[in-house]
Amino acid sequence: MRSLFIGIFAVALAAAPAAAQQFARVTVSAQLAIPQVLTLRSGAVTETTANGTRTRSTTLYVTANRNWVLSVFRNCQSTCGRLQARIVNSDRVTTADFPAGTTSILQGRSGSSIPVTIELTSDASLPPPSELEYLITAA
Amino acid sequence: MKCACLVLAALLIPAPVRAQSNCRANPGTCSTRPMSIQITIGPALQLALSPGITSLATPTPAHYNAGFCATPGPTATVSANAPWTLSISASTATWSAISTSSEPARADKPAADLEWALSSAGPFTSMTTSPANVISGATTVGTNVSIFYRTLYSWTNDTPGNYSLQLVFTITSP
Repeated sequence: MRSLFIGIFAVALAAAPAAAQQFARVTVSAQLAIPQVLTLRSGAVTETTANGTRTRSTTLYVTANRNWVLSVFRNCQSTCGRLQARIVNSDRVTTADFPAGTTSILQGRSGSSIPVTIELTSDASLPPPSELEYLITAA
Repeated sequence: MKCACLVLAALLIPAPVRAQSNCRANPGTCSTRPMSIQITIGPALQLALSPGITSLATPTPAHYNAGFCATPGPTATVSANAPWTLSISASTATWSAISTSSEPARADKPAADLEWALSSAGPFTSMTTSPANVISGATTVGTNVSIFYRTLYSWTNDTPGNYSLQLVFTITSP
């Protein structure tokens, strides 16, 4: 009787370590919140006049981690002459008129330092266009 | 351990048997029999990680330009009665992504965009779904292993959103 009890206990003792795990595993997580990033940097500005036409060329650089829209804000109160722009982005060329207020002129995809050249043409006999403000927003 | 076993064995012996057990006090009234107790100690491994969730540093334009952003990762604490090896793997090939704006979050951001190292200076290793050995050691009580993360970024691919990746740390004994 005594041997039986001790024998059972010994078996139980031997079984417990043998069942011990050969490995241990833990799962954790890494979390990340990527915010929207939109930056606009201005580069070279050149102005030339030829054949009665003034051309102001401005190069902007867009950096964004999402699709974007480039807009221009023209602040003119009374003598808003026609201001036309030729926009060169990669091999795409578009044209746009800049009336008073904000005008969306270009859409683009995410990327780093994407060059956008804006060529404004105006009548050289008129005063140069007032300051323009370029804006980049999420598409 | 052995002492604890004997005490417990004595408690298990029925009363009549216990009454005859004092052979040393009354020699001749009982018989003795040699016995042995065997114990097999297998590998015992313990692994703890803290924190369970690592919030990776929010990327700035500078991080995008550099292509990466570093964040201290969790610390693994290992206790083992045998030689051990700690390994790490991603549970999925890509991050889970939740859009937070009109722009869809990147659905195919690869697990390899998270790199790990044992030092903040590297060298860093890309995360894979196959376990990669991190470090090995001998028997120990509470060895701490600090993990460092580096997240890779691409202006054209990594759109805004909330991302997460499940990581599996495993300690094995050969």
